[in-house]
Amino acid sequence: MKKWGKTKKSVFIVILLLFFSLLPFAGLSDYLVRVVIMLMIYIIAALGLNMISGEAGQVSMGQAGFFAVGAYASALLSLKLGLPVILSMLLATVITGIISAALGLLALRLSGGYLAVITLALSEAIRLIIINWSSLTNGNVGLVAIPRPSLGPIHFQGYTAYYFLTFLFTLVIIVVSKNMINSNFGLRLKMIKNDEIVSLTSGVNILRDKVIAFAVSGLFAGLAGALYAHLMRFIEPSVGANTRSNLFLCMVVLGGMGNMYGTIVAAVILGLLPEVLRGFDALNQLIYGMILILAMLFKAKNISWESVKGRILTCKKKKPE
Amino acid sequence: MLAIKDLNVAYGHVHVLWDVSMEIEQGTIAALVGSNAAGKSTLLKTIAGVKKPLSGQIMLGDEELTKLKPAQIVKKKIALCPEGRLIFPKMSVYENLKAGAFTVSKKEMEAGIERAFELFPRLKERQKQMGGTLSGGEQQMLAIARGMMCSPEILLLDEPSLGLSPIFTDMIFDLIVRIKEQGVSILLVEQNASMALSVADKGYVIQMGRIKMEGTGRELLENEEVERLYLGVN
Repeated sequence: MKKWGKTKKSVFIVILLLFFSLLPFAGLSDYLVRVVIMLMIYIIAALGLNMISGEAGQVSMGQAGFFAVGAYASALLSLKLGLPVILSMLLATVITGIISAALGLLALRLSGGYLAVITLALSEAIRLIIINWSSLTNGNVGLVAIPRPSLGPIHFQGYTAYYFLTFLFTLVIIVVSKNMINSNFGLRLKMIKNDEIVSLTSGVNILRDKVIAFAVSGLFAGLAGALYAHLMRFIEPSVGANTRSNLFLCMVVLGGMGNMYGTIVAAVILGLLPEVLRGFDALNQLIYGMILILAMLFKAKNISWESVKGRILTCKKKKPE
Repeated sequence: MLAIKDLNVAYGHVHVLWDVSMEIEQGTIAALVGSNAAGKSTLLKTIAGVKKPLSGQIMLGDEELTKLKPAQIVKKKIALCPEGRLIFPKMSVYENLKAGAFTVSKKEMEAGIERAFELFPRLKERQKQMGGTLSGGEQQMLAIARGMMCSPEILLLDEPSLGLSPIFTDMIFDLIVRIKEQGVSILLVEQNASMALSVADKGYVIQMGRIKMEGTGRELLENEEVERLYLGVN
């Protein structure tokens, strides 16, 4: 039975991989391919936030700040230093991880509402630094003509090629995320989320583990930001706007705070909604907000496959009155 | 031997423990009884390193523990099972046990889980079940088993009978005696004074943060004041 369950899971994963590998060849317009790339970028950033806010229960409202750091670092490394774009992306990811670890060491001595506010402030500080350090960042004007990556003979100039690069990074992040959650480190994060005193008296170094989770969260956001910068080829300070942090946090909360697959599904839904609602012109933000409120209200606990399946089965079992 | 000397602890301006001194001999049970808010749990948290004292010493043999961090104290083989069980409800029984074994090697962890299943066969039957779905008594067993995962030499038990039915209370106290027989020293904090003192080699009575009486478990059980104040005998 267990073996069959595993086979079913493997088949499902293979089908999903095939689907996403063939998707750009299904006659999608460039616009739609770009939308799917953005969804994957959201997934990467949201999975990062899921590590610190979902798994470890430490609410961070500054994910967009690290997204911006990754975007600017990668763009600047490739524009000013002329580094190969893939190398710039990877370096930017590491730089963002180091910056978030340093800031985490400061911020994570606080928790609850205080942590939420301090991360919000840090993110805002990052945005203001980007605006005011105009000799490096071009201030409000932003950076233009950010190059697309290439790897030897492979050039990721078009959206379809860029799709596969982002898809590869997304797969790596999902696998890394899953392994971290299932490791002893993931278990320690769950313990911290549940009870800090029990964690302490079980030998968990709470601050160290929170800082690692925060660094991982920043690392993922940095990669997402770097992918975004080279996709758009233009960035300006609003890349790190708090509205984007709120969006990432909504993805994690709607996903079930510590439910990796739920977060992925929520990232896809919340990322797609603005595109679907584009036709409603001025009303689209209002409808988006209302759907978000309703989704939060009706969200039982998470949107995992188990809960959806459970609900469908319960409905089927109900006898008509 | 664990020795506590002239320990003073405060929460801000509220002084909770006043010059508390006590000793727990190797392989014995010391019971600390007292009413609500007497400072019993604070004492355990201070020994476990969660709360730092104002003054006084906590000695394990010749080694001072007072300034050590909780993780370092766990490595000294001192484990705390906090009040209210505090198991992880959304983690399986097996994961809950694993959570108590961060300071030991993987081999020791596996041996620890085997030991826990021998001591608590009910937990073996329910190892894949979520902690939150266990009954109160089973959750208490799990909390004690998790505490035992680091192979402690000293076990600090905070109100293990709290909220349990008489049957489960008897079961938990039988287990406490069996753990002691394995050579583990136990500091048992309890409001159920009669049960605690009946299994204790040594007993202490705490009132308003001060140790008021000490003696063997039997001596305290027969003490008129203890009978009147804690055993409900008129």
